[in-house]
Formats: sequence, structure tokens, C-alpha cells
Amino acid sequence: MEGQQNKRKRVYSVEPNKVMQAKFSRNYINYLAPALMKIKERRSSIEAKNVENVVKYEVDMAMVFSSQGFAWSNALKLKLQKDGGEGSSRINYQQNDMGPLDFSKKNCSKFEASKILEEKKLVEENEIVDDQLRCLRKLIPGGEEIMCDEQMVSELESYVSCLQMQRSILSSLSYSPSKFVVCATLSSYWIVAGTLYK
Amino acid sequence: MLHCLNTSSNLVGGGNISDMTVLERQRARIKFQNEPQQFSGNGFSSSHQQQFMMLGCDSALGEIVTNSMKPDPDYENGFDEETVKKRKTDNKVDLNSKDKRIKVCVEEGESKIIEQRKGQKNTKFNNGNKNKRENCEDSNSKENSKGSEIQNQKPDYIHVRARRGQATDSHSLAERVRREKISERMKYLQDLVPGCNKIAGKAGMLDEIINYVQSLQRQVEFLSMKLAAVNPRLDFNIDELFAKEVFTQNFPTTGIPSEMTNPAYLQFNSAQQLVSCCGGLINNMGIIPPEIGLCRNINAPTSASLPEIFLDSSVFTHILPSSTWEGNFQNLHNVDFDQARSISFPSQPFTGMVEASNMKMEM
Repeated sequence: MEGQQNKRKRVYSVEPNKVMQAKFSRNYINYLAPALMKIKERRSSIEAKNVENVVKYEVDMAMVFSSQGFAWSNALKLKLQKDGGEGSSRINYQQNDMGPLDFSKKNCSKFEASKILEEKKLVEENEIVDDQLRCLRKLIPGGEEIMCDEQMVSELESYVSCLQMQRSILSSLSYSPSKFVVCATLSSYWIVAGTLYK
Repeated sequence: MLHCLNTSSNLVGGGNISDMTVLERQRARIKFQNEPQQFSGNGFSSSHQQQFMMLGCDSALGEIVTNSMKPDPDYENGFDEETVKKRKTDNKVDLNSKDKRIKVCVEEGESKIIEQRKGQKNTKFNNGNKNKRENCEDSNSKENSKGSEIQNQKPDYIHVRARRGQATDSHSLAERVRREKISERMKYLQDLVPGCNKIAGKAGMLDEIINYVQSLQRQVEFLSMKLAAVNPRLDFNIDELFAKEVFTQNFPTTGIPSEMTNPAYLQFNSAQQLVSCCGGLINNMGIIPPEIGLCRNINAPTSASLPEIFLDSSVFTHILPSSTWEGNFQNLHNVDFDQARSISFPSQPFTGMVEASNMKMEM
């Protein structure tokens, strides 16, 4: 029988993103679900107001847990550990009361051919871009410490995709928890494929 | 003319400017061919002619010749002012023999060069190289020239053509490089953020990204609050939840080979729980609706018996090559291998995968 031989089957997905997403989801849920159960059990002993904070904390920790290896994730972890449970981890979000930002393009007249105006436009655009990059830095946890802009933008990629996944997980948890279990097993649990037979 | 030919053959071997355009070489060649009389009878060194060719480049425009010449603009080697004067072309450019480096302005607006050179008529290149370079760049930055990089004959520094309307000092050059890198990265972001594809400008895109990140963060916060509210109604059957984590890996008795030790796929912090559960706590079939098709059979292992876990083909298993996301997943692996051994694995091969279309099997 085939199983008798020491054979390994390697399975590679041709869509690596999906795999990573699934891994993230799985780890996230695995962290969050028991945490939530614990919170539920101890709910009586926690003040009502604190429950929210605790939940937020756990949500963030789950995020940290499932996305290890990124600079922002480490920064978030540090922040959580430092502030832990006081809800101040959300300061990041609440302080950004900037509202929808509107760096709308200034009325740069592209129709004028004069060199001076073009130069000015370039400079203006550069300034706008700089402002935006600074803004992004504040959004990312730990963005202040990241040295160069290029690194920050690459961190941003992972952060955005993790945020997206986190949001979808949370929404399915909140809105239809009963279906959650089923969906979770279907979509987000990846299991080791290797079949190593003795 | 013969003289010309001789020199041209000398030049072929001697040229070390790699960035001379074809056109320049052509012009130089034409220059040689058209004005042989301007060559003095004295024995020119090949370098002289090469230098002259460089000068002559400017005047011979739009003529197409062979491009076999690769002039070596080593102007400095014993170049006399007198000989230069003898070879005055339309440009009547003098070369300072001490001028070590002369920048070759490679560009498409050659007419401008001619004007510029004419402007420097009869002036010695007493200026340092820098001045000439600056002149060249200043005048050309105002022109409609494309940016290009020019390799100087001396490898000390690289002259960079300024783009229109941009400065050329090293500071802004670094800035420009930085911005280009950022633009590169932003292309990836474009895919992530929905709706970014339509926006063309960098600023607009960044604007969109900022708004998106903010909205995501707010949503997460809102959802977590909602979760806190919903919490009492949550009812994961945790044991079941993790019992569904079926691992089909056969741990060899000797230990797990390195390739298989990607425990990320196996375990998480519930590993211990699962293992301990196997001690008799879990004995369920899994409340799995038939449409999922999972079929598990976890028997409580005794020290002697081996529970069997069967996998239905609808459950997909997967192994990945290392990815950057694995991070510290090794830490997650809490399973005691001895214990794990007691959790047996199906003897039949795992047969199918859910997303078979997405996967490649490799044996």
C-alpha cells in the first residue's frame, strides 16, 4: 500500500494570499474564541464598562498573535502590554479625529506651460505627499518608530490586509455567532497536509 | 583623409566611454571625415583626435554614419591650446589642457549644446569641471530634455541629468530616489485598497488609503464593542471547535522530521487542551452538518489504543513552504510528541482537497 512508503506529498497553493489569509484567520479565531469565552464566564465579575475594554484588548491581542513578524505587530504588542486593559490601546484610533482627510488636489493648472508653475506644483505635490505619509505613520501602530518611509509603506500593506481580515472575522462573530463555527471550519482552518507514512 | 582613418582606427580600441550615443559617435565620425584639413600635420596622439571628436560632435548633426567609433574623450593628455585653435570648428571651443574632466552632455536637444558651446567660444575651460557641469545642467534643465544618466570618463561621480523643473543637488536626488521607491510600494497598496485603481495621482491614492485605514480601524472598534455586547450569547463549543482541528500528520516514532515540523498548521495554543482532551474528554463526532462532510472519529485513547482520525476528502490539508508570516509559529507547537504519537493518524491517504483547483500537489 502506498501508505507504507515514506512518501511526502507537498501541497502548494497557487494562491498564496489565500493561504496566508486563512492562517491569519485561524490563528486569530483560535486566540479570540477562548478569550471571549473566558470573558463571558467572568462577565459578572467585571464591571460593565471594563468589559468593552477587555474585549478590545483581546481583539488587539488576537491581532498581534496572528500576525507576528511585522513591525507594527510588535509595536502593537508593546503598546498593549504597556497600557494593557485600560482601553488606552484605542487611543490610536480615537485621537485620529481628523475626519475624512481631504488632501484634495489644489487647483494646479496643468494647462500652463510655464516652468515656474510646474515646479511649484511638483513641490506642492511633494508636500502633500509628505503630509499624507506623516498621517499614515500615525495610523499604523508603531509608525513613529519606523525609520524610513519605504519601510512604513510596506508595513502598511500587511497592516491593511490584517485589518481587513480582522474586520471580517469580527463582523461574522458579532452578527452571526451561531453560524460562525461552521463557517470557520470551512474557510479558515487549514490543516497540515503532509502525509508522512511510516 | 588617411590620417583620419588612422586615427579613427585608433579610436576604436581606445574608447572607453560607453554612454556615447550613437548619434554622437556618428557626428564625430562625420566631423573627422568632413574636416580633415583641420588636422594639423603634427602627429596627433590618438587622444587629441578623440578630444577633437568630442568637440566636433556638436557641429555635425543629423548625419548618419557608421557608429564604429568609440571616441575616448581623454582630453587632457597633452592637449595643446594651439592645436585646439587649429582645429576650431564652428563651435570654436577651446579646451584647457588641464581640464581633466569634461562632461559629455548626452541629450537630444543637441542644438542647445551647440549654442552653449558657442557661448563658451574662445574661453578656456578654466572653470573647474563642476562649473561646466552646472552650466550644462542649468541650461539643459530649462530645455525639454529627458533625464538620463551619464557616466563620466573618470569614475568619480555620476552626472545625472536633471528633470525638468527639478534641482540637481544631491539632496534632492536622494529625495527623488526615495519618492520613486515609495511609489513602487504604493502599487501594492493599490491592490489592497478597493477603489484605488481608478485614481491616478499619488496624492489622491494616498488620500484614499488614509481614509480606508481610518475607516477600517473604526469598524474594528465598533465591531469589538458589538462583540462585547453580544458576548453573553456567544457559545462556542470550544472543545468541539478545536476537536475539529484534525491533523493527519503521522508522527514517526523517532520524531518529527524537520520538514514536517511546521507546527503552525497543526497546533495553536489549544494544543495542550486538545491533547489533554484526548485523554477521554472528547468523544464526539463533531457536530458537523452533513453538508460539510467532515467525519471524525476521535476515540479516547487509552495508553494502548490508538484513536483514529479519519479525514474526509472534503477537508483540505495543506502544507506551505515557509512564508514570511510564519514568524513564531513554532512557539505554538505545544504538543508533546510522545503524546501526539498516541493520537494516531489515518492509515489511508488523505484523498482530496477542498480547493483542489488552487493547489498543486508535489510528490
